[in-house]
Amino acid sequence: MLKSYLTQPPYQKFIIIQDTLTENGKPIFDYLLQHNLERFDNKIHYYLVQGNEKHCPQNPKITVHNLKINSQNWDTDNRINITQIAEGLQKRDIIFVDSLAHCIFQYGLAETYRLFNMLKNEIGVAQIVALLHLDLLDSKWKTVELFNFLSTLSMKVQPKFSSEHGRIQYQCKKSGGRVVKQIEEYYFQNGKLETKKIEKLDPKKLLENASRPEINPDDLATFKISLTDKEEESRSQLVLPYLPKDENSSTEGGQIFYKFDEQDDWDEEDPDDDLDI
Amino acid sequence: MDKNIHHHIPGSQFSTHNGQLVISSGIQTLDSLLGNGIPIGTVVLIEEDFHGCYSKVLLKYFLAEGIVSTHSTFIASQDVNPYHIIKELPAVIESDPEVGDSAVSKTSNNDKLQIAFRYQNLPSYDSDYGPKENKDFGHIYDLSKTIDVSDIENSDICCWTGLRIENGTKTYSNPAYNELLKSIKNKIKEGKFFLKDNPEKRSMLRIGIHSLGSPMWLPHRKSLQSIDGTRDLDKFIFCLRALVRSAYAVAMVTVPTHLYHEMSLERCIHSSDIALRLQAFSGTELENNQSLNEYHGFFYLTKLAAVNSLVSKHPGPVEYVFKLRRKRFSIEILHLPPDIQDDNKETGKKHGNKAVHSMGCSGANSHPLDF
Repeated sequence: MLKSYLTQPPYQKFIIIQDTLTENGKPIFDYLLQHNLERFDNKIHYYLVQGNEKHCPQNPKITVHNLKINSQNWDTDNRINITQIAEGLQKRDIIFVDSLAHCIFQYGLAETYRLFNMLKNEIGVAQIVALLHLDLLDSKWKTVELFNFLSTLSMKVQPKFSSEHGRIQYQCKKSGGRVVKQIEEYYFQNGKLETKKIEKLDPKKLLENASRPEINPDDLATFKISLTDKEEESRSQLVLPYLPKDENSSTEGGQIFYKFDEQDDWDEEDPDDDLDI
Repeated sequence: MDKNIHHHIPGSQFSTHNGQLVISSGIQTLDSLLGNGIPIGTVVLIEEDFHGCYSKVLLKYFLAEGIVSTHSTFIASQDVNPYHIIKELPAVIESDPEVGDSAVSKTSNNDKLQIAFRYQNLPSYDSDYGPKENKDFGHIYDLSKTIDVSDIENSDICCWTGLRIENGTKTYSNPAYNELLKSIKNKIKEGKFFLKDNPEKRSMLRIGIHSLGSPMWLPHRKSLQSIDGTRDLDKFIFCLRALVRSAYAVAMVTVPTHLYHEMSLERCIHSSDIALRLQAFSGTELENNQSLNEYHGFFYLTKLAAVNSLVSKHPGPVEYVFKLRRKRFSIEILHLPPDIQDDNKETGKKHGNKAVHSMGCSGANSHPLDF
């Protein structure tokens, strides 16, 4: 399902990919960039806030804005103003931002939010894709919550869990008020992103399957019934006092012969018969 | 107050409960919930749902009702262009679009479910459309149609976008709040809505503020305060209420309260007169709940201030739900369906569990440790 939200219409207006140092979201970001390049003729604006210009894909459709140049206004060169770039945009343009966190460092939370709100609502660009590094945020500022409020599709890259593929937790706001919250697995196949629903096991079925295995009295009793190998061995070696001892058996003592009475009450049944042991 | 003057204000009536002049919210069920309507001079706070779309519908109803009743409108939003909200207002229609449908479903229900003849002809308690007291009060809207452009042009509408903001106030960490208050005050002054004013034709001002306190209202970088750190929001609502109290005006404010800490939220509720909360089911566990699948969310009436009276008309612990259909938004009392099917399952499950887990001396033969 996540794949269709990403690649099929209606296209999401504002996609946020939340990642951490250990769970990198860059491959998904790069995939979306590649996908947009192949599929549409729209102009793509790449806001370079963190990465290296050399690593940006070279394509006539992509305009790279290097916002790192003279970011602190120490140089005599003209500083690129992000708001000015934004104002020159058109409705069909697509915007990629390689780090929202760096953007916030540079321009402030309120200003960055205003900028993206302007891009999304006022100019109404076709799509915004932004990478947000969670390690760089202070939870006090509620940055993730605030940007989730603006975004239409927010993805969080999560580590692998009992599977070879990584996971994405996402939340998608559809028009008409529906909100979809899911966790899916993702992997890349021939350079394409594939997502797969995680089959959730029905707890009721699990219970039914699990409830009738071989009945083991060990699990049911509150005390220990069985013996370990070592205990069993030591038990077998124990000589009980009433047992005939080897050295005395030939020399002394007698034997007990039990003679049945006429109406003797001998119980041949095993007293532990009903235990199923 | 002289009642004769009020009679001339279109779209308003006197509440039968406390004699307070009220206006319609545009949704008739909501009006009856609030005690005939929204009292003038009050602030209605709406806690937005996560997506923010249902609260927007409430705001649209409120504003559309104002335009139909020839009230003046003041609309503010920083997140979206307020003019877009005006353009998307629902169109007024003569009769309810879905009343026919529900009548059909009612008859089919009657075939299935026989109720005692004594109760058959009684009106149902939460029926949406009771007898109308005032023809002029409250209208029916069709959400699938939008309002006529000529209606918008002929109305007195004032939009505030927060684009031109001057610095130079220390009351708020974001000067936009101050600017908005000033604009509202000017609007009330220009339109002669103050109680002390004596215009030729008395009218009403409806103030709609969309997504107040959203991240667009964040304090500026220099103030170094987080969204919860400032008192801007509750201070603003407090001042707004003071302003509205002394005028023929009603304000409806939607706030994305899920972004705020509970404490900030309580302050806001304290400063408002009526507080509503919309909690949508979508994206939560409640989405798959069988007994709630007809509805879109819970509707909470958090606060209903007793205006002009000692007794609040708050209905007490009743649970309300809302649903947004293609043409109409409705609020109903939540009735849980009869619990017949589940009951069987439940007992079956209990028996099943007993067979597996009980460990008493119950004498069930299958158990290996029974004696």
